[in-house]
Amino acid sequence: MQSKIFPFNKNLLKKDWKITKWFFYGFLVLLILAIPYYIGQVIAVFNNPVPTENIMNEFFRIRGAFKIQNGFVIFAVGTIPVFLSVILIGEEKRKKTIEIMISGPYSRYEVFFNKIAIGIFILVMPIIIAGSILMGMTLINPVLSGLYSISHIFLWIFAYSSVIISVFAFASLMGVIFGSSIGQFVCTYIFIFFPVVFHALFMESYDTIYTLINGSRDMNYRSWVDNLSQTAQNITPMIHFYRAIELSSYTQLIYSAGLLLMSLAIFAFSLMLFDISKMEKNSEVLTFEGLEGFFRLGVLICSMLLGGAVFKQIVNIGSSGIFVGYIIGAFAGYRIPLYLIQKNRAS
Amino acid sequence: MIKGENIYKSYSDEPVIKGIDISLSEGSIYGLIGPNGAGKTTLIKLLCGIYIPDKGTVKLSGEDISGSHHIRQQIGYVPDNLNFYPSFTVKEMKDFYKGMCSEWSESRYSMMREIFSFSDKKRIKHLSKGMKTQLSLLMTLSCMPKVILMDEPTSGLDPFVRREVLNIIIQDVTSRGTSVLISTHNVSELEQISDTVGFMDKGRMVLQQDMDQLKSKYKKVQIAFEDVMPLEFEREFNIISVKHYGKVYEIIIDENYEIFKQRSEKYNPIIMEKLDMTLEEIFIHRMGGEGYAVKNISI
Repeated sequence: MQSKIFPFNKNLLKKDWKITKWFFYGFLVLLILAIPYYIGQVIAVFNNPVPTENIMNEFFRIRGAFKIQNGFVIFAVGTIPVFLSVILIGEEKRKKTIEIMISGPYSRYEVFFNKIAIGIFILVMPIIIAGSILMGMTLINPVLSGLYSISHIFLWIFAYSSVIISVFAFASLMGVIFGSSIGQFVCTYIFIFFPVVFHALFMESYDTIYTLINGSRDMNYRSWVDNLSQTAQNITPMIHFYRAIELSSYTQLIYSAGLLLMSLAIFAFSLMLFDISKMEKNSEVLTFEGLEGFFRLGVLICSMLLGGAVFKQIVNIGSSGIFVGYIIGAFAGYRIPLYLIQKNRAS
Repeated sequence: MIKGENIYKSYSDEPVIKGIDISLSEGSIYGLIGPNGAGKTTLIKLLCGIYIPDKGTVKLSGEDISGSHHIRQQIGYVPDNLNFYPSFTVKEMKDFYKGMCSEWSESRYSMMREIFSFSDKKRIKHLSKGMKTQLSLLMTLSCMPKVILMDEPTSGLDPFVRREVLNIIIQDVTSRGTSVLISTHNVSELEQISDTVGFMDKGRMVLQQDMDQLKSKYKKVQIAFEDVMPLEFEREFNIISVKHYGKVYEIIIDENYEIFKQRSEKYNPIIMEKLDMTLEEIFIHRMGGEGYAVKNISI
């Protein structure tokens, strides 16, 4: 009998696997090339009886394979879950293929749950396979076993799985909130960086206006800025992803576990939202009408601050340029979301 | 079998469905007609549980369809925009439907497969619009649902396939007692197969009646007098529409023709002839009354 909390459905899983399996194969090949294959290639240098002058460089390169220096893996972790979520959720809503299932014998919970399940499988399994290959390599290569312990590899699997699941959870939540694939895609990236970027934009304005009024930056300015900056960092998903990948093993473990818990909460919230969402809103910019005011105000403020920062920094017309930027940014921030919402509204 | 009561639905603040009552009985075909934007697609999506009504209920065999997804298994939906996965082959799509429908009939699928000309290996993205419609019908009918809701099912089909499709639908209704709702702009097609017809306009069900009753209710009469049509004649009868070509008047009445004939004798008509109205004429006449009068524009 099917579980109510974990309603795995073979037919839905099979269907979602068919439309997204190339993500699995692509990610698997990329990870194998970027981790075990790459490490195997570099380790060959260590096995060379005549050591090269660059042996220390090679050592650092190989240690960086698990870190942010491994650009291929970081790029994949940052993009594949977003694209995967767009295909699984955004595109199904936009093309209205989701209606086949909703009109069929499946509950919305079941449809969404199976999408999340196949998404997690596609994202995590290649990491486990690549990690397992590397573990096998450490067993047969003494040089490699000196560089990576089994627990080190386990931590890599856990940290990268947590980060990739978090990005996927975030993108899935955006997929439920936004009715268009482009909206989902763009807003996932905006919100991954949002608090720190917003903080930076805000500080640009605050700095200019504070200096204009007070003439210089005093003690009040600094303490306020420091607190705000710290808060912005603590609530920015990207900062947490960085901490889970890049910092010491213990910090990695703590942040990875935190990210996993956060992802579970986001999935639960997304499931709840999907269950109450209106299917007629699919393909509109926003699935929930109640968010329209918040969305428009948010875009207006951000666009205004961005306009101010751009005009102050790029267009060299002094501090007053920021106010010209505000006007232009506010105009764009008012018109663009209004146009997008009205253009895509169901009739 | 499937019954919608007092259904309301709005998109944002704009009401799209305004208090519709609809009932589909077992072994019957319901023809849904209405101008573009009347709310036909929304009504169908409400009936099959894709949309949830703001007010009112949709029940199948007494059970609310939005609350029970298992009951929705008994409803087959053929959409107007055919929503398939473009990278799937026909066979993969079939496998998906087979996994979804507990009553899937392989023999029916094989039998109907002979009518439709595309290969099982063909990808959905390579099928024409007509072929996709055929595929949608093929899948829905093979699921053996109790209720079939079809939104423009024959648009894009060539006349031969269209006839085959309608034939299959009629067979399904007679052999299994299926309830079918068909929304189409092809009114003459509905006239041939529908038992009941519903006219929708601006979110309301303007008229809903048994096809035979509807056709016997409205009559077109050609009548001519020595002179112009007497004013008393116009006042006495409930004449819905009048057109005249010289001395000959073409009028539409909604009363029994025999009684009308008897009562009009006193006005000494030179000729009086009853003509049956087609469903299309009734539809245009009714929609004309709702502000959709055909404009005689010469270009």
